[in-house]
Amino acid sequence: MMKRVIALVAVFTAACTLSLAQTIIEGTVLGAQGKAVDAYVMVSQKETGIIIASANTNSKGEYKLEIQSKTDSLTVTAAGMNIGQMAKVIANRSQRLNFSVKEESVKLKEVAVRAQKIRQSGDTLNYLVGAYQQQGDRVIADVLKRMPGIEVSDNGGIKYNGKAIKKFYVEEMDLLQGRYGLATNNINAQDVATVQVLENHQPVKALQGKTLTNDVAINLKLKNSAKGTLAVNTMLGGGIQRSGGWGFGPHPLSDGQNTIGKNPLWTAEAVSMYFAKRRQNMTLYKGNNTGNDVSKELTQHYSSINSVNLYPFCPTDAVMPGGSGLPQQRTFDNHSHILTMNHLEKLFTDTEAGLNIAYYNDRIRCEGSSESDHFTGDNSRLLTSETMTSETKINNLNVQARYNWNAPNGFVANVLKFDTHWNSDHVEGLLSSERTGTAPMGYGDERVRQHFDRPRLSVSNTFNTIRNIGRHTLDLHFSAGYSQRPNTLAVDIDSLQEGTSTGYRQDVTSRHIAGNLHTNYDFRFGAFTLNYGVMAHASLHGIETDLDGFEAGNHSLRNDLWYNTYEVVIGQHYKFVQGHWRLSLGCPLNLYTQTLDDRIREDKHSYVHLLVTPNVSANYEWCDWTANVSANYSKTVGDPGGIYSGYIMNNYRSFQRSYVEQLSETDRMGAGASIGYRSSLTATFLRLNGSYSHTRDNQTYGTSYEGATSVVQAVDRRTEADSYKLGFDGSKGFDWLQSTLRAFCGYGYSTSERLIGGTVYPFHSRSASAGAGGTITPLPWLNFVLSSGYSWNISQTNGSIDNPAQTVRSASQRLKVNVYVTKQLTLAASVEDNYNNLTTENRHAWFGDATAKLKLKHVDLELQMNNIFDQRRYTRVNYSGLDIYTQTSQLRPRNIIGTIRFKLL
Amino acid sequence: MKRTFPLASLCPQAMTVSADIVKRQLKQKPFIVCFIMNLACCAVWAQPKNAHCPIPIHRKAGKMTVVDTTRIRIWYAFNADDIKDENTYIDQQRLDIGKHVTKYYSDFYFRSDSLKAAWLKAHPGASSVPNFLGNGGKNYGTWSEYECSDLFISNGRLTEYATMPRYLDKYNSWYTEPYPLQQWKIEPERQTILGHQCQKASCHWRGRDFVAWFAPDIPVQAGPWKFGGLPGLILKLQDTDGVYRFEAVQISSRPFPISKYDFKNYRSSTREKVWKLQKTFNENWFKAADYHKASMDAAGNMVVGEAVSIYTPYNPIELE
Repeated sequence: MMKRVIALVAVFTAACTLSLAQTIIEGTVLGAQGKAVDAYVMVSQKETGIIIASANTNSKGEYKLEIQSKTDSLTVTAAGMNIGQMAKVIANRSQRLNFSVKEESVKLKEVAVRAQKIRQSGDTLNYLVGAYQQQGDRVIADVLKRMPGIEVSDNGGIKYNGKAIKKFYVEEMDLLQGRYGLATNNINAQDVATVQVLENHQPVKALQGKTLTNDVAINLKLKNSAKGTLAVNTMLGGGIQRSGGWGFGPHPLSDGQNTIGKNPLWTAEAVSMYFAKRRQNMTLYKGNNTGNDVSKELTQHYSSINSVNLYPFCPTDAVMPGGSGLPQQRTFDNHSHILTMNHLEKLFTDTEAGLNIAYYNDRIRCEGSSESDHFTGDNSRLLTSETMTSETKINNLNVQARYNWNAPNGFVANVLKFDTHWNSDHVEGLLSSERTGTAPMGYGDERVRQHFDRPRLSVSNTFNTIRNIGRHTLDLHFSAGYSQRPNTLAVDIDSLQEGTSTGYRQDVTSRHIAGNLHTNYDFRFGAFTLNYGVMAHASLHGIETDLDGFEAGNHSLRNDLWYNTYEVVIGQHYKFVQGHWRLSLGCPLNLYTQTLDDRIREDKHSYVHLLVTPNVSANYEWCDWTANVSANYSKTVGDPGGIYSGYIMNNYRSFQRSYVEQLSETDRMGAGASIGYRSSLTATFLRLNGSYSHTRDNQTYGTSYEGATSVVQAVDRRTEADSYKLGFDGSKGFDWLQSTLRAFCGYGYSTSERLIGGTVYPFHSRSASAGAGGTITPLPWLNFVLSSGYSWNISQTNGSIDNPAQTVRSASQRLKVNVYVTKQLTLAASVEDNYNNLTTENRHAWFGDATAKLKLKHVDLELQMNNIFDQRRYTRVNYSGLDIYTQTSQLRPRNIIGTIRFKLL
Repeated sequence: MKRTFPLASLCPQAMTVSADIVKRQLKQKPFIVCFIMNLACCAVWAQPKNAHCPIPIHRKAGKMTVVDTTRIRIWYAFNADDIKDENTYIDQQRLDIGKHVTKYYSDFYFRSDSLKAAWLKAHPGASSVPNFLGNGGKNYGTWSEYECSDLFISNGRLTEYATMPRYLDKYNSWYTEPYPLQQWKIEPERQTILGHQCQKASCHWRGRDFVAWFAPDIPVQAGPWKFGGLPGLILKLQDTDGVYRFEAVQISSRPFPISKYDFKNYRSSTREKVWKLQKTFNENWFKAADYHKASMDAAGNMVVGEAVSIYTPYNPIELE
C-alpha cells in the first residue's frame, strides 16, 4: 500500500514538472503588404482541438503566447474578423511563428433555434415558407394551405383573412395576369423563400399614398438560387383502373350506366420557368385522362384591368347530367390538354410588356341519371327521370397582349384580348315522365338526343392612363370590344309511343358590341378626396333567333331585334381619410337610354331613365382590428333577357318568352358590415360579417306546365325578395406541434315568391353551415389534416298542403394522414365521408385515396391509388322548397396511377 | 414638477393596495408572516427585470444614420424559459458585427421603435403612440438598462448610450471604457451550440462569476452585453447564480445596416455615475421620478395626492 502511494506521488511530481515546462511562441500576424491586421492567435492541442491559450496582436502585428502543455504538437491559429482563420501545426517547443494572412471575410451558415414564422413590417406580412413546409409538400400551393390566415379554395383561388386577393406577383411582377394557379401549382415550394401578403395594396405607383385600398395582394419572394435560371420540370405517368375497357378512342355514348374512364390511364406535364430581374417566362403543357381537371390552373382569378364586359345573349343550353358536387377527378371521363405561354419583359425600370397565351382542349364524358319531382300547381306534381350520357368537346384559345408603364408620376396600360371558344355538347338520354295528383297521366319513355354547338368569339382592347397633376389625379379609361356567338341546339325526341316523335332546333345568333370611356379627376384637400368623373357606356345587343318544331299558338318563334343601351354617368365620390378612419360616399347620376328595335313586331321604342345609385362605406382600422360598414342602392332597367317576344328554347323541356309591354325594373338595396382581426405574432385571424339585401322587381317569371314541358313567361306583377346572411371564419396557428386550427360558420335566411300555374307561392329558406378543421403534427414523422363541415337547409313554400318544410342535412368529413417514413418516403392516406339525409341509398358515401411519394436525388416517384373503396355511383338529393332533385353520377372505379417527375434543366 | 395620474391608469397602485392587505394580515397570523417572509426572500433574489419603471415614450435621440454593415448578426435570448419561444424571453438582443463597428442592442425594443415609426406614418393625425408594438417578451413595457441601452464597440473602446426610464430622460447619458473588459480563464469542457463546437471559459467580473461558451470557429472576439475578448464568439453566457443568461438563437451573415441614433442630447458621463443612476431607478423609480398619486376633490378636479415610493430590491449584472 505504502509503495503504491509513493509511486503515485512520484508520477504526480513528474507530471507536474512536465506540465510546468513552459513553451513560448511569439511572432507576427501581417497582411498582404506586411501591414499589421486586427487579429488574435490561439493555441490548441492538436489531437483534441481544445484551446489552451490565446493572445491578441499589438499594433505592430506582434503576439506572444506562453503555454504550459505536455502534448507533442500544437495547432496555432491566427484568426480575425477580416482574415478568417489560418492554422499551423508545430512541435511543442518555444519558437517564432509568423503568419502572413490574406483579407477574407467570414461567411457563416444561417442557423436559428427557431425562426419567427410570420413577420410583419407595416402592411406586409412575411410568411417563412420553410417554417410551414412539410416533407410531402412539393409546390407552393401545398404550403400556402398550411399558412394561417391564407385559404386556398378548390378552384385555386386564394383568400387572405376571408378576402380574395386582387394581385399575385412573383418577385413583384404580375406575369400571369390573374391565372395564378399556374404559379401556385407549379413553382416548387423549395424555391420560395417567403410568401408576402401585402395589405391595403395599391398596384398603381402613382396612387400609392394617395388612394388607399382595402385590397390584398400576394408576392412570392424566390430564393436566389431560383432566380435567373431556366428550370424545366417534367412528369410522366400511367396507370390502370378496375374496369371500363381498353382503348384510346372515344367511348360510344351509352345509357348512362357505364363506368367512367378507360384503360390505360396516362398523365404528362412539362413546365418551364424563368424568373429574372427583367424577364419572366412560364410555359407549360399538362395533359391526362385520369380525371384531373388541369384547366383549373387557367382560371383567371382577377383581371389586371377593367375590360369591357362582353356577354352575347344566349339563354339556350343542353340538359346535361348534373354535377354531384364531387370533385371532377371522380366523375370526369376526360382527355384534357392545356398549353400556355406567359411572357413578361421589363423594357425599362417602370415599363413592361407581356403576352399570355392559353389553349385548352378537352373531351369530357359524364354519365348519370337525374330524377326531378316538380311541383306543378294544384297539388299535382311532375315526376321525370332521365338517364344521360354527355360528351363535351372544348377548344378554347385565349390571347392577351399587354403594355404597362407604372411610374411614381404616372400610369399607362393597354391590354388587347382575343378569346375564342369552339365548344359543343352532345347528350343522349332516356326520359320518362308522369304527372301525379288530381289528373294523373303517364307520358311514357322517350329517347332524347341533344346536340348543342356553342362557338363564341370575343375581341377587346382597353386603355388606361393615370396622371398626377400636383396633388390631384386624372384617370382616363377607354375600353371597347366585340363578341359573337352563332349557336345551335338541335334536339330529337323519339317517343316510344308511335306518332309523337318530335324534333326541335333552336338557332341563336347573338352579337354584342360594347364600349366604355370614363375619366376621373381626384381633388385632394387635406383629409378629403373629391372624385368627379364622366362615364359613357354603350352596349349593343343584336339577337336573331329561330325555333323549329314548337307549337306556340299566336306567338312567334322568331326574334330579330337590336337592344341598345347608352349611358352617360356623372360620377361623384367623396372620401375622407384620417387617423383610423376611412369614409367614402358615392352618388353617380346615370342618364340611361335604351332603344329596342324589334324587327318581327316592327316595333321601335326608346326609353330614358335617370338612375341615382348611391353607396356609402366606412372603415375603421386600429392596430390588428379592422371594421367595415357599407350600404348601397342600385337600379337596373331592362336587360336583353327580358325583351324578346318570340319563344326561345331554354332547353328541350323549357320554352320561354319574356316580353311584357314594359321593361323590367329591378331595385336592389344592400347593406353589410364586417369586423376583422389579424395578429401576425400570435398567428390569429378572425373575421365576422353580416349582410342584408332587398330586391324588388316589377315583373315575375311564371312557370306553367304543358305535359312534361314547362313554359316560362314574364308576367306584369311586382315581386320582392329579402336575404340575410351572417358568417364567421377564423384560423389560428400554434407553434405547439406545428398545428393550425380553422373554423367557420354561416347562417342565411331568404324569402321570395314563386309563380306557378298562375298561383303565387311565398317561399322561405333557411340555411346554416359550420365547419372546422386543422392540421397537427404530433410526432416529427406524423401529420394529420382534418376538415369537417356540416350544413342544414330548411326550405318551405307556403300554400301547398303536401309541401311541408323539409330539412336537407349534409356533412362531409375528411381526414388525411401523412407519414414521413424516412426523409425520402412519404405515405399519405385520406378518407372522406359525404353524408346527405335525403338520399335513400348510401347516405354516407365513403371515399378513400392513398399516395406514396419517394424522393430520390434526381427523380420523384409517386404512386396513387384512388377510390380505394371502389364506389361506383354517387347520389345526392336537393330540395328547393317545391321541387326535389336527385342526381346520380357514375364514378371512376378504383385506379392506380404511377408517375415519375424529374428536372430536365 | 409633480407627476400625477388617475388611479386606474397606474398598475403599481395595485401593489400598494396589496401591501396594505399584507400589513393587516401581518398583525393577525404569525404563520402567514413566515410565508410572506419567504416570499420576500424570493423577491430579494431579484430577477434581472422586476422594477416598475415604464419605458420612455420616445428615445430622446435624433435621426438614425447607418454607420456600418453587418458581417455577422447574432440574436441572443436574454433569460429564456423556453429557448424556442421568444415570448418566454425577457428580451431578444442583437449583436451586429460590422467591419469597424460592433453594436449590441435590444431586438424587441428596436422592432417596437420601427413599428411605432410605421404606425405614426400610417396614423399621421394620432395624438399618442402605442406604448410598445410587436413582441415585447416577458414583462414588456417596463424599462431595464439591458433593453434600453445601446452598446457600440470600436477601436478597442466600448460606449454605452444609456436611455433612462420615462420622465427621467434628462438623465440620458453616455460614457466609454476600454474593451475587452474581462480576464478569462479558458477551460477544456465543450458543448455544441447552434451547430458550433464551443469551449468553456470563466471569469470573475464586477462582483460576479461568469461562465461563457465561445465558438473558436467564429473568429470574432465579442459576445452578449459587455462580454468579449475570447478567441471566438461567445454563443452562451451566464453567471454562476443563474440570474443572468444569454444564449444565441440565430446567426446570419446576410448584410444588414448597422444604424445609430444621433445621441447628441445625451450627456457625457462616467460608468460609475450611470451605474448609480440605473441602480437607483431600478430600486425606486417612483421616488426618482417624483411620482404622486392623483385624486379627485369634491368638485371633481384632479388634485395632487401623496408621493409614491415603492422599493424593489435590485440585483444588477454588474454588482460593482
